[in-house]
Amino acid sequence: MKSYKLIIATFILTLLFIAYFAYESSRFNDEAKAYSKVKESAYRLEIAFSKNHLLMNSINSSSNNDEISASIALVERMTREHLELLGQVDDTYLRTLADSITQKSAVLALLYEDLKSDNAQLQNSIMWLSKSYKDYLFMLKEGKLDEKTMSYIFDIVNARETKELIRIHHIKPNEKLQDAQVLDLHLGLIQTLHELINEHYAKLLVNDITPELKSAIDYSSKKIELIKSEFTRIILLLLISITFLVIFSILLYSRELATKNALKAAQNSLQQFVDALNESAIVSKSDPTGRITFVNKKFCEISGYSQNELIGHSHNIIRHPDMPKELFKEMWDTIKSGKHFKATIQNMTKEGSSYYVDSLILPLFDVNGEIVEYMAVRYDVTELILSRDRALKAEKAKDEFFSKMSHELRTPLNAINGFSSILKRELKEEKQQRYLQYILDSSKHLIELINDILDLSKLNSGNFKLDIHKVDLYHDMESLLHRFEGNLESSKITFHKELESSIEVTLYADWLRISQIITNIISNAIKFTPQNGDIFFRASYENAHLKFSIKDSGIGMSPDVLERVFKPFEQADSSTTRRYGGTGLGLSIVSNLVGQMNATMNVTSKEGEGTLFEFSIPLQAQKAKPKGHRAIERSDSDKLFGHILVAEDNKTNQLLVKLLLEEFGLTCTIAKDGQEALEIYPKENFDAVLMDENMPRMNGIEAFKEIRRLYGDKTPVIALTANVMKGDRERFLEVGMSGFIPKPIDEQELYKTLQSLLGKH
Amino acid sequence: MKLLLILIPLMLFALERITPIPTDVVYDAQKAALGKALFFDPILSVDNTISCATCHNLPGSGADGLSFSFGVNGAEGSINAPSVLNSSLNFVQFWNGRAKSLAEQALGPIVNPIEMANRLDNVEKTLKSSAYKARFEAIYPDGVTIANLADALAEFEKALLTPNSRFDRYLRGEEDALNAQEIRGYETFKSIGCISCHNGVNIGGNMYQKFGIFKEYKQKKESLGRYEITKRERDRYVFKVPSLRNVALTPPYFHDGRVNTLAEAIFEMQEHQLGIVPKKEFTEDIEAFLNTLTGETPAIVRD
Repeated sequence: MKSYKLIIATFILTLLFIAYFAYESSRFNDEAKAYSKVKESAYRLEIAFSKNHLLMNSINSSSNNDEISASIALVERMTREHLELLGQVDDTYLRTLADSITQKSAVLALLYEDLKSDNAQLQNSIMWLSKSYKDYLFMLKEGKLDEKTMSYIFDIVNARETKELIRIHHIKPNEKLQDAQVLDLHLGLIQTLHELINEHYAKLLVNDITPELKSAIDYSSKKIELIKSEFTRIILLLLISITFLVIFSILLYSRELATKNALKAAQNSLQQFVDALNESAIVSKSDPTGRITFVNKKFCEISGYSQNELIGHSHNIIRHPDMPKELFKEMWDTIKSGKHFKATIQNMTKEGSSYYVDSLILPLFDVNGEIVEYMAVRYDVTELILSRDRALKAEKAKDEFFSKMSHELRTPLNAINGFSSILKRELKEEKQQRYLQYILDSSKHLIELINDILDLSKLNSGNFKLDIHKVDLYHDMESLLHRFEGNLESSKITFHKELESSIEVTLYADWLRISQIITNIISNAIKFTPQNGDIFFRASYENAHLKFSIKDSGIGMSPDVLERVFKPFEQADSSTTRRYGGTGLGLSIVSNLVGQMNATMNVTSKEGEGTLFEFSIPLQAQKAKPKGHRAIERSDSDKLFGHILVAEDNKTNQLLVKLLLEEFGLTCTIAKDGQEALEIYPKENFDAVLMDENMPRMNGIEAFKEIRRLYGDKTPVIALTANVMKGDRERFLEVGMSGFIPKPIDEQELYKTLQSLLGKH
Repeated sequence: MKLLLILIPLMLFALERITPIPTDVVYDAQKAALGKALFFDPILSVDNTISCATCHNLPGSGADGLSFSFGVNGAEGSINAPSVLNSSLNFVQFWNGRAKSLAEQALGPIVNPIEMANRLDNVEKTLKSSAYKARFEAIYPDGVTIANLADALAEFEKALLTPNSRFDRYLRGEEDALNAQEIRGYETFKSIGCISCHNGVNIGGNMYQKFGIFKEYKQKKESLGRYEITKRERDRYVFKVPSLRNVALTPPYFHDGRVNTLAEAIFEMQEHQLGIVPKKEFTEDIEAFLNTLTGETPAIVRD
């Protein structure tokens, strides 16, 4: 804008220059014309003047005064005109000349007339002498006239021009002569007149205006030359100005053209963007009040509305009733403040079906920064949203399937495991014992496999959450390691345990998962360490990290095996499974759990030499609480005492639980569902309740809630269920149950739980 | 031979110091007609009594036959009225030559207190309220102005030439146009010196000359002549040499109208101006010659 103004200013300035030069040139032209007129008139006047003087100088007896008068009149007229011209030119020098010419001309005018008059008189007298010449000759003969006078008369009469009389010396005639007085008068007059005429001629020369005319001519010529050169200069400047203007115009034009082209190119590339946008996105624009001012084809296609139906309306036309009002309020607040708003919005087509769009709504500003309209760019994500919903549904279905499957698998396994254990104790024959051990091992392996698969599926599904509880680290570590003692003994492996005093702390952790890691690694170590080998376990708590390491003198792993073993179902090789058993899921679960706990794991291994696992788990200590070393041991003689209410709908499980409880030294009453449990509970004095979850008529939780509601919180209730999916444990504990025993029932775990609840005996 | 035939008459004319009046005169007929009307109309005088023609009779001598003319209220002029005939051929106008042109001259008598005694602004006003207004406007873009009035009058006067006098016919080669005495008179006119001053087409009217070169002239009424204009001593009693065209028609003679006959005038001229002893035969011959100078009445005033 500023440069445009500058351009116009320059243009006008140049035009002014041109106008000025044109004016100057015309002025010079006028001036030059005036001078050349002066020059020309001076020339003509000079010629007329010279002719007139020639005429004046040759004035004689035969002169025609008409001719002379005409010549004088001509000169006077031309002089007058010349003086007028001189007056017209504003020039001091020419005015001086004019003054001089005026003065001289006044004198000359009188001189001319005097010359004419005096010449006429002179001629008259000369004529008289001529006419009387004969008489004087007679007089001379008669001696009346002296010769001197006669020769004088002769000279006068024969003078061709008045000027010639100058040389003639005047004499006085003889007084005796007849009419001597007349002759004397004439001769005297001739003498006087020719002197006068000579004076006139002298004055004529003095008052000659030729020098003034010549000066006027020279001066005018010089002036004209000067003006011509000035004129040439002006014309040159004019040409330069015009050239400048032309060049300027061309530059301006080409600049304009370049700008236009650049603009066109910019428009083209912008158009390409717009086209691309229109091809890919759903675009609409609205005025500041939200009324639609523009929709692209995609908008019409997806919404099912035509352009005419949309323009002028609010975007509410495509609003889906499910969308919360608050979202739109937030959107308006955001875009009105000049910011972008991004959201996935469910919209409704004309037919009423919904579609989802990822929307970007942005305000468009004018040059003053005022919002003039809003633009919405949307991408159709309906497919994405629907497939996500489908995936979520499938995930849920899978979880439900797993939950059901594990429940369905655990119940029969519970029976197999339980009865095998009982049988093993009753049957003393070695062969039977061995077979039963196989059954026990196989079912145990099957349970582990199910647990691992469930764990892995939980971990992979992303729904996994750590279950943080208060942990007495030293005590729990001791009891955990105690479990392996049997295996270690049977494998003839020396277990080197080193628990530093720093782990004698109480802290919050998901001990179940930590013990899972330890169990997995130690189980592997036992599995892959040959007889008479060593396993080293070391644990410490430092810098808010639980650190432990497990080192074995086992077969070890090569680096490429090391890479694979953390993947599900991978072992060193497929033969490993056959040789050592195991699900091949252990390390994969460990690696996942380490990740979940933000812990670090370090594995160093050398083939044939053994493997070292090092873990560091960040855990916050509650406070240091020294504890005495307390070994937990159980033997067949550690009997429990108490009367237990068992609510269990499955007949096999009723029998299994009854057998296990009796083995522990406990007595029990069986209720076949929640309703029955509720009826039996007040009739007998129970020390604890084992409550199955899934039962007909009334489920475990409901029964528990009723018992608590009707009889107060005095008897511990333990959940006994195959619902071991994520969150189940929490669900039971939340409602106030005292413990949780997953199915299939781990004999040890049941014992431990009951022992802790029933107290010492 | 042809060249010789052409050259001879030319040489003859060249030798003659008097030339005939041209038979053709070029003028603007419209302006001249307006001028003519004004010339005869007393509207130009202050009291509507005097016209140009009052003192310049037309058709006729172009003068009034009086020594001194009368102006408004019977005022008497101080100088003899010259004829308007052939006045355009004079080199200046008035006896003392105070007007360079006819146009300049034309306004003189209008404002002369003893002639028309008018004022130019008054004349203009009068003309503007008269029928002349339309006539002026028909000719001049600026209508009635004093300059246009003078121009119209001058244009009319330009037309007042009197060609084809017997003498002019003689000059053109009609040898029998003059009789012997008249020819003798012309010769005398030339030989005794009259021609020194009375030469050219108008036979005079082309120079100034002192009246009383050889003998003092006693004027009827004192006129200083050109002295009144130049105030030079040598211009005292210097007057414009009058034209001798139609001189037979224009008595009385001289600037003061002192002599009534041509013979007297010729006589006095010899003694005052030529410095000769007047001779009777000269006078008679010259008078006969001067009588041949009467030309035709100008066409414009013939009807």
